[in-house]
Amino acid sequence: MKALVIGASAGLGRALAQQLGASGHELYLVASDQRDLLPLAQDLSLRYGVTVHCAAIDLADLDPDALRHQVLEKMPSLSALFYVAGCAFNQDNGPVPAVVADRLLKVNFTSGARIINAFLDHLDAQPRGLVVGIGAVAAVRARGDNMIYAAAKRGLEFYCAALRHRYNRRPLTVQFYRVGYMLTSMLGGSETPLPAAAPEKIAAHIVAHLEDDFGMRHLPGWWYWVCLVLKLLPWTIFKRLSLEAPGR
Amino acid sequence: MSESSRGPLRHFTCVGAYERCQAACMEPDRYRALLALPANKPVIAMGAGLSLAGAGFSPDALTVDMRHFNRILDLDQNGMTLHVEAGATLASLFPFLADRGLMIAVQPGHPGITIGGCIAGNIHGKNQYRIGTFADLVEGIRLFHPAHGILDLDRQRHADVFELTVGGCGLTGILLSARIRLHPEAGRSCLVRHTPVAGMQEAVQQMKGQQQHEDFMYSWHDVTPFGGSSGKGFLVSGRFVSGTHERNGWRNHPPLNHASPWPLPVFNGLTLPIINGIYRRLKQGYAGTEDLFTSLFPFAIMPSYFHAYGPRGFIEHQVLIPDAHIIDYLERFLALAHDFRQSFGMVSLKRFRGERKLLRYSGDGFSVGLHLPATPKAIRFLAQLDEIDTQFNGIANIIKDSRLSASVVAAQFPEYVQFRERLATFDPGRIFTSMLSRRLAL
Repeated sequence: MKALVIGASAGLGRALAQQLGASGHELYLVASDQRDLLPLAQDLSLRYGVTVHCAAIDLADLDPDALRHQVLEKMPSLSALFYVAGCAFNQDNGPVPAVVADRLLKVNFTSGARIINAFLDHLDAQPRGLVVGIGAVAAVRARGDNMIYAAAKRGLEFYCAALRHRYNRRPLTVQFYRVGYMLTSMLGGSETPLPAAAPEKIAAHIVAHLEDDFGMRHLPGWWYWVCLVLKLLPWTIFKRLSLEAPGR
Repeated sequence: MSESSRGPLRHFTCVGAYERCQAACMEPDRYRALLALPANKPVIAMGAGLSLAGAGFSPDALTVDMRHFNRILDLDQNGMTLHVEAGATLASLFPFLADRGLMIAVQPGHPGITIGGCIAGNIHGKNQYRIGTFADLVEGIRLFHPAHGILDLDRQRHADVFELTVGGCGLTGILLSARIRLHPEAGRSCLVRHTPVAGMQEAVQQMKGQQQHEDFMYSWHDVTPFGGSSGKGFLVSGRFVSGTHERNGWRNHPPLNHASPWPLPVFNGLTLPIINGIYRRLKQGYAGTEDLFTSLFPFAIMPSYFHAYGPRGFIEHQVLIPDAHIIDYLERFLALAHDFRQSFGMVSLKRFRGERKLLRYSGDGFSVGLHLPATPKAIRFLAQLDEIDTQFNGIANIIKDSRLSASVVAAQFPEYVQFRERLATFDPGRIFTSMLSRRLAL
């Protein structure tokens, strides 16, 4: 498999890149900072002997067609796209400056949709194309925390669900994961009301199920039940809940 | 991404648990976050957090956890050098290098230690006499200091800062990466032999005769009433041999969660003599083949050893005594241990060779290593032992002993003042600070 990982330099994206590299897949890594990407690319190619390309791109200032051209030039038989990028800000619980709202929407949703859209024809033409979107449990039910973040992640989730419907008779597989709290810099070391998972464990699950056609899954799996309860809670109870932690 | 530069509070404890505190912590996973540290706030870097002293935390300083900066940047197989980020652990590098017939020749007791920790502590392995300390393997360092930016250090460029950084307990800045000299892998297995000795003095004599011929050598002693007045024990010698070994120790070793000791001290004044006696009888005369990883990292397979000291923890005291004084020193040490009826979890000897420099634990002589339950009696015993150490021209290992005082270190290290002055010249604001540096007034 030849895989493009968007948001590869840290957290789940980096863990995914490591596990895909360890499985021998050729990689194209995209993140915002070359200082993080180059060491990761060097590490993966040295440890696992795989070819790793990388490009530093700010997802808030994106030209998807240029990215498509750039990636396919290096990796003409690209067969999988992982959109892992995400960002959250503590102040996302009320009015935020326009620039913050813009970044939250772009990184968590619109850039994802635009990148996937740019590669769709190419991936659909592959014998076994794969699109993997990463969402968050914060998008299960609207709350007063991480408002724009959750709305954007819900948008990505909706777009991936639509893609799955559109391509259900094609070889292209679309997977979407709603991921619970993870031990990444997005949490910033803060306490979470429910256990946070190591990104390496989440990545291992994703890599182990690349062939599966399941639509959407929760990771870790027990989040399915938590999300179900959250969805079913009557409004009179739900409005009193405050899960004070960043989105993932 | 969280945008705050000072993270939440976390409880930190050294491996012996004697030095501990609550401090702010950040765990950057991107260079952007790391390089945005302010130049006017106290800070200290932490690798794996496996130091035996409080070298990676201080109540007033932000601890920067470097675990995510653990990538291999380059391997020059012809030049035998590895360029690696400072947060990489020895355990993560071991299989990568072994697959290419290479190894890092100086390995401390636990594989979870990071490259940055090895450099900042100038650690030694089990054959310092033949191989040297970690300082001898470091060819270059990339260091970050908020006031100076990123500096590339080696023995030519910024040589002064390079010298301060190797064995400098992380007080010159944050180690980003290092170029390490490699050795050909000596073998996949190790022939280990335990030779009984009647006492510590005999171990010294035997080491003097045999050290040259072994790939590693140290001794273990039972300094309890069961071990006699001279500390019966055995010499542990190892020779690396080629061929493969079935056990993959590096794959199976459990993590060391030293912050969760057992609720009761199983190692105490009553049990340690019995445990030492049983251990000596079981282990003396042992000979067998071990896989390389297990022989290099004996503590990796038994993390419960550290937990067994209970919530009070333990203190490691290590002192390097010159060859000329070692026999007389051991006599005084054994007499003091007898007078105090002091119990030890471990007493060990290693032979050293090299130059004394700044605050590094290096020089010619014999290293005497002790593990003691951190009881008030043990603290009194060590205070008296500090005086004997100083009297015999010994130097203590500051990265291991979590209760050493500034006055003792100043008395033992001729270049103590020079280290402080050179550090202050490089960093007048002295923003890199830890419990260790405060205790030693560095």
